[in-house]
Amino acid sequence: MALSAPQTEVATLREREFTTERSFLHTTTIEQENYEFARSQRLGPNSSVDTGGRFFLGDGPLQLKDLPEKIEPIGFPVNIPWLPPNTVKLLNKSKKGPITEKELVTLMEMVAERASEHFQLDVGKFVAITFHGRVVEVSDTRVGLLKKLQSRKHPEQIFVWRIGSNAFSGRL
Amino acid sequence: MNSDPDICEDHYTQGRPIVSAKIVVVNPVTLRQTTIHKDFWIDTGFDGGIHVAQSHEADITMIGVDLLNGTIGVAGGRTDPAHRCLVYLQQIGDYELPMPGIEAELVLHGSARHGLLGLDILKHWTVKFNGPSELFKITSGSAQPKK
Repeated sequence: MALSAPQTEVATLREREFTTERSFLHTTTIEQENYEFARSQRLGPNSSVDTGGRFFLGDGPLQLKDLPEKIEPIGFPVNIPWLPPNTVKLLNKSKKGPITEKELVTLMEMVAERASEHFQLDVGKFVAITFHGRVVEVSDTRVGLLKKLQSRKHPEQIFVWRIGSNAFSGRL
Repeated sequence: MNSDPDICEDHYTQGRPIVSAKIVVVNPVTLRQTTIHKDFWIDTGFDGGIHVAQSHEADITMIGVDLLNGTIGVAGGRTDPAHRCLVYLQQIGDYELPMPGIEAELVLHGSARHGLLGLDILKHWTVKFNGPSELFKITSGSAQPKK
């Protein structure tokens, strides 16, 4: 049995095709007119005009090379706590040369205090902190922390601390 | 009757419970290791693992292990800077512990001739001190309460 479409449907399809073609032609004409208008009014880039990679803002050119390559966020980094001036002063002193044992202990105490407040670390946790206050590792046990730290190299000097205590271990 | 196996039993030395022990530091990257064999004072007043003199620093750094900075609380409430690393306690007295031994914190500080075995090590055993007889005994496992 041969399939055949009714004559009325064929007529409708032809009419749709025609409508589509006419619509496409109409749009093309409008786009061409817009392009010609923009070209005559110098509203857009023209192949015959070389801007040389410059944007014009008012009378002076704004060059891309004037813009910073990377937009830097303004403010303090979130992974390092704010350190008070006396801590920063001691930190800078330690970078220039050796500091006394008392100064080293004071520095570690101040950095550990700021870091534990900043990151809201629980009392009793064992942590490894850089001298800038960044927390490198946290553990529930001192052996657990040392085990994690011993298997890798650290680009920065770090120290270990027990939160809420004045030392990692010692006399009771 | 206490059936816990004995680990170590000895007399006090100069009025102190002192025992010889072997500890090993391992570089986990190169697997190089260094052994420290010396006398340790069983110190229930020290809450850390094992304490040795700072002079052992060279033994450890020569195998490429980086010591960690930190502090230690000392008698009188003072805080001193100290260095630390992970260590394995492998032998106490004549008793050899199952490999790789007991993982512990090693503190390098001061210049005392004897090392210290602190509570973080002693928590693995039952330790009995007989003061009048100047004897101490270390047994494994927990002691059974007397009825």
